[in-house]
Order: sequence, then C-alpha cells, then structure tokens
Amino acid sequence: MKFTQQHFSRISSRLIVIVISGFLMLLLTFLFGQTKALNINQHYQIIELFRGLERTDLAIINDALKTQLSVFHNYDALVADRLTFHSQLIELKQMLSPFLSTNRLLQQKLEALEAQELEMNALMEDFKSENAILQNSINYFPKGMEDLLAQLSADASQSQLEALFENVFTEILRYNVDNNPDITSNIEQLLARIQALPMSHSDVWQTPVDHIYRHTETILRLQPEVSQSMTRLANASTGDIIEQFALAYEDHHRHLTQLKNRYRLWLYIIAMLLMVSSLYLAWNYRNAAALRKVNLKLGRLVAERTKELKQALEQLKTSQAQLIQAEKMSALGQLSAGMAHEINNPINFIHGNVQASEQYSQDCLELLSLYEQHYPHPVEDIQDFIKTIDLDFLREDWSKLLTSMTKGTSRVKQIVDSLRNFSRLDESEYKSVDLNEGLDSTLLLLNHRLAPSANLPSIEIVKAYSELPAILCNPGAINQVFMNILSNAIEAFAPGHTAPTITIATGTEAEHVVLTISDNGEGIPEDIQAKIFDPFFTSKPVGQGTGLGLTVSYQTIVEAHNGLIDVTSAPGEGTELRIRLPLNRL
Amino acid sequence: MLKARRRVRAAVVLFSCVVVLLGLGLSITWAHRTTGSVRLQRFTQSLPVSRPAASGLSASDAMGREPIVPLSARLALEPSLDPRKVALGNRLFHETQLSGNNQISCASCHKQDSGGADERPLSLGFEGQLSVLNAPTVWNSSLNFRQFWDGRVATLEEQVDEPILNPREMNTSWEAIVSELNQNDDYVRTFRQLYPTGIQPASIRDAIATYERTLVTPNARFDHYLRGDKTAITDEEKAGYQRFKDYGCVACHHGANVGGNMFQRLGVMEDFFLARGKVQTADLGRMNISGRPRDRYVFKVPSLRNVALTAPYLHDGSVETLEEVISIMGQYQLGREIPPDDVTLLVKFLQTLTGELTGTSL
Repeated sequence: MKFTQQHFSRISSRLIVIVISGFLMLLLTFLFGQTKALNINQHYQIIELFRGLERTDLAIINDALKTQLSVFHNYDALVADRLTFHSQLIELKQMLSPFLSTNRLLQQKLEALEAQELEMNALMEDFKSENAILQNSINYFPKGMEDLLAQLSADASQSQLEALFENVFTEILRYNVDNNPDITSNIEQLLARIQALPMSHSDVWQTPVDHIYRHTETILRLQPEVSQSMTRLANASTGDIIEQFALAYEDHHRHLTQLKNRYRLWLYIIAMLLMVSSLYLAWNYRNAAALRKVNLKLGRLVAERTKELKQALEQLKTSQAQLIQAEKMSALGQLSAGMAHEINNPINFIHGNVQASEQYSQDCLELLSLYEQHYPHPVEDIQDFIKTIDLDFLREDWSKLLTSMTKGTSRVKQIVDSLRNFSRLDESEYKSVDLNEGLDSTLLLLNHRLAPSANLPSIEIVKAYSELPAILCNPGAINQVFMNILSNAIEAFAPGHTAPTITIATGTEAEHVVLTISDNGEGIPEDIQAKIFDPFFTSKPVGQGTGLGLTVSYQTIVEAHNGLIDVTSAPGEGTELRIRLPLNRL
Repeated sequence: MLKARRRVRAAVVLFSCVVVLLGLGLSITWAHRTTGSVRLQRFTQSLPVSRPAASGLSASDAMGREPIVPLSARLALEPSLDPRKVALGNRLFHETQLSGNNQISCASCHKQDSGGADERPLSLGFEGQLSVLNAPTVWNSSLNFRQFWDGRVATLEEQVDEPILNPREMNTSWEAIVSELNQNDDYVRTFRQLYPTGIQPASIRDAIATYERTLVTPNARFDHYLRGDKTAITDEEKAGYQRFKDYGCVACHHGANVGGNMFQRLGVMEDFFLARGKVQTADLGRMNISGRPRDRYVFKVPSLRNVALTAPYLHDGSVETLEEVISIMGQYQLGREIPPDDVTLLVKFLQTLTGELTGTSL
C-alpha cells in the first residue's frame, strides 16, 4: 500500500513536470518567433527614407524658389525632385507595409502624406504654368516696350500715349522688384488712362500696343499669383507631415523594441525554467533508474536464491526419504540377516539331528521287526499296547514324518540362505555375483505373493535365464532393485486377470548384462510414463506406496552402477523393464 | 518516508525558482513600460541622408546656361534595362493580340516612320473608331513628367492600360490578353524565363514600358551643338534658336526633352478655342482629370524633340505644318505676332532636334 502510494506520487509529480516543460517549450517557441523578426538594417533604411523625404521636400521648395528667381532655366530639376519624392514615398510605403495594417496612426500619417503629395503636385504644376507665362512676359516686356516707345517717339501725335507707356514701363520695372499693391494700383490707373485715350492712333499702333498692354496685364495678374503659389507651395510643404510620420514610426519602433525586449526577457526566464525542470527531471530520472537497476538485480538474486532453495529442499526431501528408505532397508537387512543368523544354527542342528533321528528310527523299526520274527507271540500286555498304539500305522507314518521334517528343515535352510543372500550384510559392499542367483533369492522372498488370491489365479513366473558371468556389483542394492521391480510387476495385475505371467529373461549383450522383467498386466498410462522415476511419484493409493521404489532403483542402476534402466509399456498389454549393467563396472 | 520528504523539498525549490523568475520578469516588464529609450532617437537624428536621383534628369542640368539640355546616349542605354525584357516588350509593342479584334497593336498608332506617332490627326482605333486626341509620340516618352496630353498617369507602366482597355482604341481586357498569350508557347516560355509570375498584366506592362524606355532619341544635331560643337548647326538654325528663346517658346519648351515637363493652358494670351470652335470634352484637357476650372484647356506641354517628324500638331491634330503651329503658338501662347522670316528660322531650328533612334539617324 505504502509502496503504491509512493510510486503513484513519483509518477504524478514527474508527469506534472513534463506537462509544465511541454507548455514552457511551446511558450519558448512562440517567444522565439516574436523576438527574431526585428531587422535593424530595415529600421535604419526607413529612418533614412524619412530623412530623404524631408530633404527632398526642402529641395522642392528650394528648387521652386530658384526657378522663380530664374536661377534655373528649365523645370527638369523640379520634375526630378517630384520623381525622387514619389519614389522615396513608394519605397517607404513598401518598407512600412508590414506595420501599416497593425498601426492605425502610421496608416493615417501615410494617407495624410500621400494626400499632401497630391496637393503639392497640383500646386507645383500651377506654379510651373503660371511662372512660365510670367517669366515669358517679364522677359519680353522690356524689349517690347523699348520697341514700342521708339516707334511712339517717332510719331509726335502719340506723345501722350508715349508718356503713359513710359510711366507703365517704369512702374512695371519697379513692380518686378517690389510687389507693392500701391504700384499695382498705379499701373492699373495708367492702363485705364491708356484705354480711355481716344483711339485716334492708326492700326499701325494697334498690334504692338495690344501686345504690350496684354503682357503688362499678365505681369500684373501673374506676379502676385506666382508669389501666392510660391507661398502656398511653401505652406503646403510636406515637412511637418513627414516629421510627424517619422515620429509616429519611431514611437512604433520603440514600442516594438520594448515589446521585443520584454519578450526576450521572458524568453530568458522560460529558458531558465526549462533548464530547472529538465535538471529536476534528470535528477529524478537518475534516481529512478538506479533504483530500478537495484530492484532488477535484487529480483534476479531472489529468484536465483528461491530456485536454489527449492532445489535444495527437494534434494533434502529426496535424500531424507532415501535415508529413511535406506534405514528401512538396512533395518530389514539387519533383521533378515539377524534372523538368518539366529535361525541358521538351530535349523542346522535340527536338520542334522532329523537326519540322525531318521537313521535311529530305521534302526529302531528294524529292531522291532527282528523282535516280531523271533518272538511271534509276545505277552498280552505287549499285544495290547501294540494294538493301542497301532504299531503298523506308526511304523509307516514315522518314516514319512521324518522325511517330511527333513524336507521342512531343508526349506527353512533354503529360506535362511535366501535371506542371507538378499541382505548380504555379511559380505563386502562390492562383490562379483551371479545375478540369476539374486533374482531367484528375491523370487523366493516374494513366493507368498505369487499364490492365488480371491480375484487372481496364481502368478506364473517364466524364467528364461541365460548363463551370466559374475559381475562386480553391490548385490544388496541390486537385489533391492529386483525386489522393487518384481513387486511392481506383481501389483500390475488388475483383479480378474486370467493368466497373470511374469517373464524374467537374462542375457548378455555386448558389454552389458541385460535383465528383462516383463508382465502382461495393465501397463502404465502414457501420461505418467515420464514421471515414474520421479521421487514421490506413485500411482498407488495414499499410504500404500512411498513413490521411491523406482527412484531408488534408478539411482542404484544408473548412478551407482553406471547402468541403464528403461521402461516400455503399452497400456492394457503390459510393461517391460530393461536393466543393463556393465560387464566390467570399472 | 525520507525519499518522500526529499521530493517535497525538490518541488518546493522548483516552485520558488518559478516564482522568483516570474516575479523578476514582471517587474522588469513593468519598469520597461514606464521608461522610454531616447538613445535611438538621438542616433537616428545623426544619420547621414543621401538624396537619390530618380530619373535621368538632374538639378545640375537645370542650372546650365542654356534652358535646353543635351540628350546623351547615356540616357538611351540605361544599363539597368534587361535586353531580354526589351526584346519581349518590342514584340508585345507590335502584338495585335493586345487588341479586341487582333488587328491593332501599339505600333499601329506609334509608327516608326511617323516619328513614333501617327500621321493622322486622330488615330483609327477599334473597328475604325477615331481616337479623341492626336496620338503623341512614344519616342522620349520616358522623359515626360507624366503621360498623355492631360497627364492622367505618371508612369509608362500605368500608361499601358489606357489604350488597351479603351473601347475606342484597342478595346480588350487583361483576361483576354493573358489567355491569348498563354496559348503561345513561345510567349509562355519567354515570360516564365523573365518573370516569376509568368504572363500577368504586371509583367506585360513591365515588358512594354521597358521597351519604351529604350525609345530615346539622343545625339540630335542640336545636342552636339549644346555639347560644344559650334558647327553642328548652321547660322540660320542658330538664329532660329535665338528666336526660340526671344519669342519665349523656351518658357515652356525647355529641359532635356524640350518640353514634356509641365502643364500649360492652350490659349494663354488669347482664347484658342473661341477661334477654333466646337469645344469637345477632350478639349477640356487636364480639367477632365482634376475637375478644377482653372485646369480647363490645360495640356501637357509636348516635347519638341523630333517635332519635324510628328505632324500633325496640337492635341487635336488640327495643325498640319510646323509653320502654322509656330504662328498659333506665337499668337495664343506668347501674345506675339511672329513674322514669316522668323517662322522659317524657328522651323529650321526645330529640325535640328531630330535625333537618333538606337544609333540610327532619323
């Protein structure tokens, strides 16, 4: 519980840091985009364009003045100025285009400047047109007037007209120098007087007088107009608007710069935060990684230890069971050996004495026969006793009795020999023995189990022994194996089996002695065939089998004697066990 | 337990870092809002400013002793002009597909053998319709301060739209032109080589205007004279130039293009239209554009370069000879009567203004 809580809190805190880092990274990308766009060269270009426009604006006024004062003899400079101004304005507009959509003030200033440019263009064109006419009249006037006055002076009748024109001449020259309204009215009065004169002069005068008259009028009309145009032009100067425009732009740029500086600061902060969070993550991760590594190692160790312990436990259990079995077998061996030893002596002298008794009884009976021959009619007492003991039956039965006793003692002797042979306790561990003998001894011990029972007729033992060379082995252990295997074979028959048979064959094959013990019993189910040698595996009801019989057999044959043991079984048909022991164990 | 405590401590450290840095950011942001930077202003005020020249014309030419400025080959051979664009513009200038009936090209009214103009008083446009004004010469048009008699557009590029879209003249649309040119693989390939956008109104305008900028006629005999070759023109022609100045023609016809740099009313000294009669809308001139009464009868002063080749004269093409137009100018513009001898001299002078086109004498 505690572990899962800790685990959860670690995962969730790391998740939060990862989410925060992701958010910070997004913010970082945004800020990066916000801080990189400002191009300082472009800014200087724009500033330079503003300054250029101001200069061009001044140049326009300057050049217009020079034109008015006849410093310039043509308008090419004015045209060039306007073109320069226009192209500078277009360039400025292009450079400012990214900011115009967002900055209303800049947009307004640009529109104002464009409107002012149009206004100024119109004023300029008016000035150029008027100035051309005025200059032409001013240029023409002195020569035209001189020509007219010369002509007039030749004609005495026109002296009054001549005087008036001379006055006009003087006044106009004055007027050209000083645009005084008083002079204007003077000239207008003079012109009115000329008009008022009776047109007595001939047509010869009409045209030159008209020309001078019209040019004088033109000068009078255009001189103030050109001055006014010039004033309007100067007033319409785009200088103020350009200055305001430039200030608006500089404000805009300063604002942008400040914004970008702020963004840059945030960029720095976010970067720092990211670094902190990544450090935290790295630190956290390193701890977690180390922990995981240790855990893994620990887990592996635990698993190894568990496996080892399990194996050890199993071995312990097996060896304990084997020890118990061995103790059991050893006790059985000792018991049987003791029994054999204890019985051996009495049975020996019983057996010997029975034989002697038989001799003695023969002797006695022959003596009795001799008595009957020589004394056919004994005393009555004897005849009565003979009748009582039924001497004829006694004579007959006694010898039979003794023969039977001899047989019995022989059998006991045989059993005792088998017991001794089976346990072999009296012999050294390894010994050269005839395995056929061992088989026979074991069979003898199992004899009682071959007898017919309620459900099963007697089990037939078919012996197919070949002559075997003596082999070096531990006869007690080997006999124990025979005992286990034959016991299993005897138990292999299901109740109701009609002809239970166990076939025991012995022989040699190459370097091995081969013993085959087969039965025609139930066989071993296929699914357990592989397990029959496992310790504690038994198909018998609980408590009846130890599950160690075949295990011990396997260990004895394979491990202790370097032999082989294998089982072939067909369920329902029977089981065959083959044991192979090397002829030369060493 | 110990580990959990350490994690809590790390979280607290992380959190306080966040708080401190955020606080720092906010405070500096606040501080920046209240103080402005004046350094930039000072810096920008100290920047040097250059005054770029936007055209071939310059103030130094205006300050010369003579009101007319020689036209050199330098102007004709602007190195910035891409010869491939010039060639394309030349082809488009002669392309009848730029008209609604595929019969009229720019060159139909701006003829090489008529001084870059039309020998007719009014040009024949779409299906024989007459234009309202006399076709001005395309030659040296790049030196004009504005285009058309009424100066309605400022650039050669803008000029292209007018005759093409005018129903009396070429009577077509950009859609039609673009689709027709797109059917010509050669045009498609050439445009793609020269313009990233391919065949578009803007690229067509640019090509034509680029070509027109090469139609400058420098090295007239009078140019040689102005550049110091005193034998380039005859004494009579020199006398004609003197009359040109004395009579005041030069008041409006001056500069590199001998005109083409200002507007002037036709009929300054006397009412020209009263004498001519039948005033049409087109005769109102610049007033049609500006709407100002004072711009009535105001037209762009035409260039006098190659004027001997561009008859007939005036905005309505009503005058057939130079002699006549000189007299009209004297009477209505200058308030002078010019004697026939002087007219002859003036004509002789005007003939010295005929220059070379792409190196060939005209």
